[in-house]
Amino acid sequence: MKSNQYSIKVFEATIEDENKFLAFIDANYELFKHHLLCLQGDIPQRVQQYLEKKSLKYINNFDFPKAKKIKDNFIMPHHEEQKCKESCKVISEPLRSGQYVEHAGDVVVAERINSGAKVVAKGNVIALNVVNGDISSMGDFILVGDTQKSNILFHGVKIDNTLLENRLNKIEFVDNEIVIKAISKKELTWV
Amino acid sequence: MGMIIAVISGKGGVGKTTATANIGLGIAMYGRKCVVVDFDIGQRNLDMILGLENRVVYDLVQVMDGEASLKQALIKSKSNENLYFLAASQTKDKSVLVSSKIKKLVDELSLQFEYVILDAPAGIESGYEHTIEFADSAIIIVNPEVSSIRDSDRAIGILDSKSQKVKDGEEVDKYLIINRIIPEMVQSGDMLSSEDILEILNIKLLGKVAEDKGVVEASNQGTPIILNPKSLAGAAYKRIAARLCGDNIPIQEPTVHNKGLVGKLKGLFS
Repeated sequence: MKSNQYSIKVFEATIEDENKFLAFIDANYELFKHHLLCLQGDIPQRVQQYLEKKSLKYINNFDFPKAKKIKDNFIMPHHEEQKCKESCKVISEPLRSGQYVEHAGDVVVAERINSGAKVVAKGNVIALNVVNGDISSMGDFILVGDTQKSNILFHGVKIDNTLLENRLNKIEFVDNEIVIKAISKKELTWV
Repeated sequence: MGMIIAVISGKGGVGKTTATANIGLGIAMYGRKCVVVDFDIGQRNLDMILGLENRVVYDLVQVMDGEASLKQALIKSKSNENLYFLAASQTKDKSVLVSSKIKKLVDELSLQFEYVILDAPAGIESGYEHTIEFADSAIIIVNPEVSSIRDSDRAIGILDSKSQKVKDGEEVDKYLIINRIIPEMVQSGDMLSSEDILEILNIKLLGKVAEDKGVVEASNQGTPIILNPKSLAGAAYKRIAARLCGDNIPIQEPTVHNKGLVGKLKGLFS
């Protein structure tokens, strides 16, 4: 009889989120090249195709006889941080009707946003003066005063103007829900 | 070199042409040499308001195209010898305007006159852009209503981005005239106050003109309201012209006139 004995590294995982899993494997591909992947539960077709394309070895729903758990130094992909590397844009002139400001980062508007003007930002929007125009933000928050004539979109959701109080309002996500809270004047000193 | 002033509004029907005629005549009456130019190609009106309808032989398009000399096309006002008028072409449209030709015309006018006032067409199309292109300053006419204010806001935005002076890194002076104010409605809160308008537009105030029924009649007869010594609007235009000529006259607020007993009683209790 001719035999060989191997000691291999196995990475065991259960796929909960297809995208997150693929991003994770992709980020650590160099490491997984030499691993055997053991995937518990069902493998989605996209993942299967990906693994075959990258010729990564894997087994499905397998119990190992005697194994000890170790922790490897895997890199967790940080997509969140890459989202907004653009600098902040400060506008110190009044935005007049028909003017359109688009920016990949944060936008601070120190003067009025007049009716018919529009600010579109991938980052946060801070409007310190009267807003009668349109604001659209895909960032973490919008800071805006009491603006009954404005049209505010936060991540594509239209904000009900009646919810804005007569002071600076912060529109943000809290547990996947859009929350509007009034900020007292005292907290404003940093501006 | 004379001062080139564009009279703009964005929205039509706010009194741009009436204001141009009256300011031009006011400056002339003040003793300065002034020319008013109708830039509303294809829809000229200024000739009628100045009462010079039957005197138009050549227009500014013909001058720009070299078909007529400037001297031939300039019409002297019948009410003041300091005022001249250059008519727009009624048969052509805005597409005939070319920047280089406008520059030449405007430069030539500013050598002969102390004040060159250009009456812009309504809207923000090419005709408007050509009017403001070589202006040193602009007079913005608004009515105290939201649509007029938004349209003029848009017009100012274009002025601040497309005029030659701005492209050269300078600033175009902007002056606001609030026209057709009805003091009773401002007092009762039904009309936007001057303060609100100034806050939105954020430019210098040149004057306030009250609604005056005499303006329509004056326009129809071709005698600008400034020639009527009894008219409040006429007096307001006189002050505006003097301010443009350098006089420091405080802004006068159009006031409510309580006519009759009921009005007087209302005045007592308000």
